[in-house]
Amino acid sequence: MRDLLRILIAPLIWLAAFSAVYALQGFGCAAGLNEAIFVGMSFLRAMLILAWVLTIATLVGIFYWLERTAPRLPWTSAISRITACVAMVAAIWSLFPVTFTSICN
Amino acid sequence: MNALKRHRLLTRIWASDSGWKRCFTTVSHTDLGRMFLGMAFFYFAVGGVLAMLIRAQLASPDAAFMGPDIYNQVFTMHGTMMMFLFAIPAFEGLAVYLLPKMLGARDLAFPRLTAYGFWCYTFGGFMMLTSMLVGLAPDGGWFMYPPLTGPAASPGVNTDVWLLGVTFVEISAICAAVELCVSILKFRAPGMSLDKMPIFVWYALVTALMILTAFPPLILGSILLELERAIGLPFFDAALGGDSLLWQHLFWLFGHPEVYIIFLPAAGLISTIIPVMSRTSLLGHGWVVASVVALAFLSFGLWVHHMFATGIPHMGVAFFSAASTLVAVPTAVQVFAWIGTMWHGRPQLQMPMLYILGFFATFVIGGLTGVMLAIVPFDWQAHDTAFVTAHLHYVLFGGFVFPVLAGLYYYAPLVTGRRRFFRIGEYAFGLVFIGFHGTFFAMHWVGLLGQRRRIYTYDADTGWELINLISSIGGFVLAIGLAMVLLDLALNAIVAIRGKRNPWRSGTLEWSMMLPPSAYNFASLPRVTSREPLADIPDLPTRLARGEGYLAVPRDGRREMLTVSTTHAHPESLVVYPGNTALPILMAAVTGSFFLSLLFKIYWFTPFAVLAVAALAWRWVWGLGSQTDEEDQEIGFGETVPHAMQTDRSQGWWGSVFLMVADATLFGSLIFGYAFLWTIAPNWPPPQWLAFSVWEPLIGVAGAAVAIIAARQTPRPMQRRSGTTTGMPHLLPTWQSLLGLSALAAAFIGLLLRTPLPTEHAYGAVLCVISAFGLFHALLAILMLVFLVFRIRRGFISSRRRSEVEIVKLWINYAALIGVVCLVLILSPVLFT
Ligand code: HEM
Ligand SMILES: [Cu+2]
Repeated sequence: MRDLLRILIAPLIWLAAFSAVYALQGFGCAAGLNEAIFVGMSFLRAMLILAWVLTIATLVGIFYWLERTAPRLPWTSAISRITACVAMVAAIWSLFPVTFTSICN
Repeated sequence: MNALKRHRLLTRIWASDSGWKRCFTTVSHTDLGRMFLGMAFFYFAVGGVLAMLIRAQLASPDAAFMGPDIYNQVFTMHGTMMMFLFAIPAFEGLAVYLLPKMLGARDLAFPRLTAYGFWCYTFGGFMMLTSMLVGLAPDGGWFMYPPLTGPAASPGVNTDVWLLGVTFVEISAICAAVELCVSILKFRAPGMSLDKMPIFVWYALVTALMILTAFPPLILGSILLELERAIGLPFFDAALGGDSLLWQHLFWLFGHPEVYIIFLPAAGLISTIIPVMSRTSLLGHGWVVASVVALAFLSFGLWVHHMFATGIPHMGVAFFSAASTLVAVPTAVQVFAWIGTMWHGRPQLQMPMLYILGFFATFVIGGLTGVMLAIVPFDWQAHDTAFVTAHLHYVLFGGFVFPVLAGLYYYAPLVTGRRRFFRIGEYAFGLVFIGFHGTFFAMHWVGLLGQRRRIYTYDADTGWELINLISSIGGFVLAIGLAMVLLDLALNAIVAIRGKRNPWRSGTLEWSMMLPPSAYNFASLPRVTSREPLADIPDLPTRLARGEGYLAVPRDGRREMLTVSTTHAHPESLVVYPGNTALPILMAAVTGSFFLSLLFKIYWFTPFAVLAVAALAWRWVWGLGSQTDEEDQEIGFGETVPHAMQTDRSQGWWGSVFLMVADATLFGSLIFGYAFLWTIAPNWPPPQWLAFSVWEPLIGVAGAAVAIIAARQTPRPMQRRSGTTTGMPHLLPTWQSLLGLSALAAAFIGLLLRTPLPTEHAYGAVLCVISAFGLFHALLAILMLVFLVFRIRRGFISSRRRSEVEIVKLWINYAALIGVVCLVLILSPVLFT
């Protein structure tokens, strides 16, 4: 079971973060956080960018953990490395719009 | 014991009933897999006939063949049948039939559940089929968008047929998914560690996990819409704080993964067939596994791309557009792995390969038009035109039907034990291929010229006439081709000569059995040491028949199987399966009466149906287990394992875990819906908030805590070999848990009674559903606890026989947890208002 989790964990984190950021955007707009200003940009955008960076940082942590600990089957490490890379690319690319698109319309 | 004697003994133990009873009482995966496939292809034929009706109507302008009412029913039923009654059950049938054989097992984890799923599918399907015959079929399109399908615009029973029928059928998908997960992880031949599982098994595992997480949003949506239609809870009614976009979210949260749930098993077949047909092994095996996992996850982050035309903020569009472009990558990895494998090996152009080539040609085009539609401005142009219909058929037909036909030709020798003799198939393939492209290539074109989808007719001066005629002619060529495929398969199954074992010279275990397979699959279970056991040990079949494997000695007339550890597949416990029984069909019939009572609005009957289901469920589990402790059992190779009922983690425990995954996803979707309505829906705040009271949270949380703590008190199992003490466990903690859960249930009843105006605003309606959800789980756990009390009293539980205790404990914890979250969801927002 542990080995299976090693394969699934990184994409799972991407999916959770992706949904959370989408939810944050929805809630933020509803709560009017887009109008508040924080260091020259909208407060909501600052939060979204923070969430994006946190996601990437978490995935870096996962990557580190996967490399440092050994799976039960050596075979798993190759697979989990690929899925972790996929999750990383997905996190960077799919959430990248937080930096530039208009948020609430 | 010689091979023949072993065969006779095992056959007597494992055989299904003979005669007419067989199909009603069988629990054999071989039988049920065939029944699933047969039924799925029956619906493929019905759906195909409907498609022919559509094409006949559209062949000429101003056609008078069907009026708009009938046309709506026909295309809705075509889409619904193809998706829910053909594609998903065809996967289930394939998996149910093949997996134990590939895994070196004698059956799936829960044989009676397989049968129950099959009967739910059958009855639910008949329900929908009947509605069509009497002219009351669903007519809101296969994705059933409200407000068109809401109570005001569709007052008739048509929509209810869809909501209830599809939900009924989905029970079978959930059953199959739970079953496949547990079977793949625990019911393998010893030694088949995760890295040695055949590639199709990986696809099936990922697909099953996707079913568990993709179907719940749809089931929730169907429940909510049915509640709106039946008792007026306004979830999708914008005037009353609902939002019809909520349906679109819930539907596509299911609908996009659904596309991959359909595609992945087909891709699994391709990954299985290509290496064998090319006399080599799959190139980049690890990459393929990783890309299947990646594809599954990515497909859950795409759903909003079906809603680009609904006016959501740019950022949302950008997220989902970006994620949509990503899925192309793992798909491409697989395509390259397949091409590389063929390049590497020596491909032979047999029937299965022909269909795989057909797949390549078609699917690549479908992928390209998909990328076109992922570009938002293009989507705004092509949305709701025949272009989309053409795209989706390139993907679905190319990505599912072609590979499945390849799979049928590939596995026909295994299923029937015969060698192909009549050569109608090659011509049939030609007709299918030409017919398909004729039909749908034309539809791209006419879609770009502006023909909308779902129109029942069009004028003569649109310039679409000739293209539509070509498309319809293509459709009929396709239909003739498909009929010839079925004829070919049927003829060869019935009259062709007997074939020899392993005709394609594959290396995986399913080819190591007798043809056609015996009732018990393997006379003794192989000890697996590589990914292609049959290639390493060519005389494996004779060795297994001679008993040179695990469980070689039939014992006490019991159907025996091993469970193994998840990663390394070390033997863990001995499972004794239940025998043939009519309980599954009975249970499905009673479940059906529940759905029928809702359909015909005979609500006084519904509680009785629920009680009957509970009573049968009680019967179902009561028959398992034993009243005496059993010694650890010899399984061969000098190893012994405990009986599964004497372990903490029995197959029932694992099944519960996977069922909870599905249940928690449904709960998550409900929370999403609540938040969505609260923040996005118009006409909030509601006219009245729930008044806060300390009693419900106090009683509820205290009850949940008592239940969990008391459940922990049930004694830990004694060490395995510590003697034969069989003291009956204490009942006190059980009563305490029961009390706690009752308090939790009472809190929810209190909340339900106090919820303000559920029919006047979506707020109250959602609160009702959340309370009911918490109440349902508390009651479920209570039922299990009462069951446990009776089991303890009757001596089914001892300090060694404690698997049931562990299962009930799991459910108590889960119900308590769900209950507390429900309370927080209901009450915490009230504090801020
Ligand atoms: C046997 C050959 C098939 C033909 C000739 C065919 C033809 C058609 C046509 C013409 C439509 C458009 C109806 C309209 O918009 O007015 C349609 C819709 C559809 N088809 Fe097929 N189809 C075939 C097979 C399949 C298969 C195998 C699947 C799925 C596995 C499928 C799934 C669908 C779906 C989901 C729709 C949309 C229904 C809706 O708009 O609600 N079809 N089909
Ligand atoms: Cu999609």
